[in-house]
Amino acid sequence: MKRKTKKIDISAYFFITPSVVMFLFFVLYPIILSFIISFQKKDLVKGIWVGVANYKDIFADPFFWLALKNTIIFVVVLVPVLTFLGFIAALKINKLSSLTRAFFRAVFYLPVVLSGVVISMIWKWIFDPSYGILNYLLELAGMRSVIWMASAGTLYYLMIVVFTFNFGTVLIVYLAAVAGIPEEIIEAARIDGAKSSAITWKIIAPLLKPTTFFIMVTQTIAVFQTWVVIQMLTNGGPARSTETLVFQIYREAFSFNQFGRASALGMVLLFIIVLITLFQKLYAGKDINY
Amino acid sequence: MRKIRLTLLLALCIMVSVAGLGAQTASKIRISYWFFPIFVTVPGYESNTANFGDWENFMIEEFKKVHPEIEIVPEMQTWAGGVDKINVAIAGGNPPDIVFDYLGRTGGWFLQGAGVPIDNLISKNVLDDILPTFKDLYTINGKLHGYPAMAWIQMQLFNKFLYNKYGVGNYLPANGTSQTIDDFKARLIAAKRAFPKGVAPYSLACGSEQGDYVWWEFIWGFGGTLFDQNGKIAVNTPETVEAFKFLLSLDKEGLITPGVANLKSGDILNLIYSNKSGGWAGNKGNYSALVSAVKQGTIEGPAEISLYPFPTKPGITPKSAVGPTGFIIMSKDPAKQKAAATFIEFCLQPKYMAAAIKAAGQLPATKSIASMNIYKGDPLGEVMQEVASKYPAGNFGLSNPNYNKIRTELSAQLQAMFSGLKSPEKTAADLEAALKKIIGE
Amino acid sequence: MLIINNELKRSSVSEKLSFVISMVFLFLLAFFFLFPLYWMLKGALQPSFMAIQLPPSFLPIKMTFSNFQKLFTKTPAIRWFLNSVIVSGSSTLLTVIFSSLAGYAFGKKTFWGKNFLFWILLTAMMVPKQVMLIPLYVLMNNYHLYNTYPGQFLPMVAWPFGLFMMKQYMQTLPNDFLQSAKIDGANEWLLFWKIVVPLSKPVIATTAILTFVNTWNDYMWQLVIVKDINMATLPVGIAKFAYSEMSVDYGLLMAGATFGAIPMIAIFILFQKYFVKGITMGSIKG
Repeated sequence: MKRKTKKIDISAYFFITPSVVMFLFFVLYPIILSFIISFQKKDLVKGIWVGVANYKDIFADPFFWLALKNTIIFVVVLVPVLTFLGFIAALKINKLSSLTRAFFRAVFYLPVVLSGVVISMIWKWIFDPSYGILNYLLELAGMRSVIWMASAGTLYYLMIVVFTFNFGTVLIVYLAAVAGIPEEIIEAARIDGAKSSAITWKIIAPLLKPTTFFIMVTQTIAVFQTWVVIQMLTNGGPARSTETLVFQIYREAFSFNQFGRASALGMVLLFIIVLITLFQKLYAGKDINY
Repeated sequence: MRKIRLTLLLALCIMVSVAGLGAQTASKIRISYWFFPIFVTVPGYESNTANFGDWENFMIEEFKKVHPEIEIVPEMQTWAGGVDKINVAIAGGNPPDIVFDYLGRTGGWFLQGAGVPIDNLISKNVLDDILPTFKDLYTINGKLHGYPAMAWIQMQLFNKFLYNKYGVGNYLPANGTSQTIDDFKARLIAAKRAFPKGVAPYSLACGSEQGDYVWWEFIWGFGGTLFDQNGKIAVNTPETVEAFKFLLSLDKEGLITPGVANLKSGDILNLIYSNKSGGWAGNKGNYSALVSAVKQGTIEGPAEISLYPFPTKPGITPKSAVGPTGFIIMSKDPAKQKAAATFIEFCLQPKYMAAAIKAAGQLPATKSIASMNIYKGDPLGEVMQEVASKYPAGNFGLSNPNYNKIRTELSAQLQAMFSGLKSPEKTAADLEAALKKIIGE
Repeated sequence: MLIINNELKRSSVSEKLSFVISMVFLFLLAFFFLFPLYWMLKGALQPSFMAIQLPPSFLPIKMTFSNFQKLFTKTPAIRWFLNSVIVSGSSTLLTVIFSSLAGYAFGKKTFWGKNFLFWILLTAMMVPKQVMLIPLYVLMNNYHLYNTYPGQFLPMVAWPFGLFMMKQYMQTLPNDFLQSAKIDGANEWLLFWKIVVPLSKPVIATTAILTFVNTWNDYMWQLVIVKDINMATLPVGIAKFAYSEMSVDYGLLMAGATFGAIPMIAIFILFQKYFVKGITMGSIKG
């Protein structure tokens, strides 16, 4: 039995050095510091070691669990929707003539390019209870106006805004990936008589598994980190019902100056995202070879 | 291939050298002075102060003439994230030397150890000049944590132009007249009947923690309070519950802009500046904004406002919400501290400070400027001065170390009430329980 | 026809129907996405006070260039623009170079510690940036990079997002192709530059665009790391002028945002050609 062992490629170390060095200095080191701070009660100036007290407080706080629930709802709804719609849209757009393709690419990418603050402001106007266009249209249709940002469905309306923020990125990543698929493979399948849906799901999707994994992980991270939208539209309200974990982190750190607790929340968030990512990897199958 | 690599290398070199452009050099005693855009078009110095930041630069220029050995390096912060930046600078061990900001924040910074007491840095006669109310507010743990320069007073503001336009101007008595809760409500009811759709008689906001003082003003009007005489939380009282019931009724009867739970102070200001709301809280500063809006042709004019102390139940003395802004010194270096104090004293000179206070539409915090009667001949300013001296200032937790948490909790509880999630009784009870937990009682 | 191409002409009725439905959906979605842009342009070209007018005017009336006038005469907007270009350009250039090198190594090479290192990189990306902000600021101070260009762009270069994206793409490049090139005598460097990079144009373009945009729009870090207003990037600079204590100058904000969007749209258009459909291996075999 011939076994092909993979030889270790020394050149790899040269290739990765610049990135890894940067990473160590500017990413890993601050994270380690954050981790240490999470065991302290630290405000702007002083830091006292308190062990796991911050973590205990967090788990005992009902609003943490509420924020956790909100954050998870966001992720569980938005990430699959973004991934699926992005994939389908990329395929459809890829088939169009280059002009229309360019048009859609540009249009869906626009929110990514514009600043989050500007877009949030605009959506705030759209949702305004007294003067926003949504209620204006509702009233024209003879229906009662809704206080969008202070009602039972507020979390879901927020999701629409977050969707427009992230969709563009998903789309252009998938478009790039689809562009990398050799034309020959598709043609060969068509000649063999394969239907469109079969080509999509049995050939293209598997080929794009690494990209899909990338999208799911980065979109999970991105959705978890949604902050500007919440702060500008609902400020976590009404009555703290639309708070997410990142919202709480920001407030603990910058409004209350409790950096120890903010860091601890950050570590908890990290742990949850890692769990979800592992879950995604398992679910996607082991041949995904991240 | 080689050409591309060389170009890339060249680009990298250029970038690295350009990076050197940003580096700074050091010389004499340098004091960093951070402030917010507050002063513009200062009376008597208009030509020098057309833009925000000009006044501070002017102060620095004048100061340089007298103290050339001290270099003041100004940095105007933005309201969008400026506070965060100060927090990061402090936490990062790189705080500014002087900050000119609101008590709600300077007190917090001092309590966390970022500020130094000024009792031994500022000259005694300047220290003695502080008005007693402000001396109390600025004393933390027995020391003066900063120097109060001025204070806003939030009175109840009505857009008199709007009320006149729709024929209910007669419900607005002379400026400064004290009013009862019933007067207030009657006014709103009349306005509701007269105003067209889309224009509210009045507005309230609890969408964010800002504007907390408005709610306390109403609570005080019913005899409620935040702290009792012993400094303990005493929010859950029948008076407060009555106040909450009243406020909720305003919403239910359509007397205020809908969506209280989501509106923020900035939103209400927008409404007032577009003649879409009949009133909120405010002072002279809002009047200037209305005047410029009319000048720009944004809204109909002429701009006219009415200012009153907040309404009270008969027999209850109104209290006013007063918010001081002042200097705090953050340097740890004694030489820098002394230099900072010198600059602060320079800025506090009545010839400069009085004009600045007038530009900001606020009230003086020192005896010398108070005696100057800066608003003489200015009806709105005089009303502000009169109300400030007639009625005591209320305590809404401004100098409490947990001020931010207190007002965040208040807005959250009120949001629940206005969204129909809690009754006024439960809101008051939950608020008290939460505040007690925050304070640590 | 403008929209359909030959492939669709051959398809069945049900496929044609699904095409129509998806086109309707896409155009509806497009309108949804275009609306903010329209609103921003309108806000930039109308006087400031009209932005807070309620109800807002939906039609572009009373157009004026006054906001742009204010932007260019009363603020150092050009300087801020240049700063943004330097900072975003530097971060993009370095990110593309470093992450393509590292992405290729992680995607195709075998080396000790690869999996472990990759998971650390990936996990680090999951830490919320707000939490890292202050420790990073402290470190920057210690490295003497406060208020410097490298201080502004290096954290973005260090962020593993580009590396991750490059790796996922490059690991799908066909191995036998690379092997045959090696047999032909190519060393690792040549292999990378002459074969891997040309094949990776779509992902390089995407990384470049996303890094440029993320750096350009970054607010918090740019606000915190910069002291002189002359070093500020465009979003930070505009915010300093647009937000006063009692009001927001929406016209200025929108004009600044429009001005800021131009280079990003330009970069996007510049890199469009790399999104060409179906890069074939044939074009390289020769």
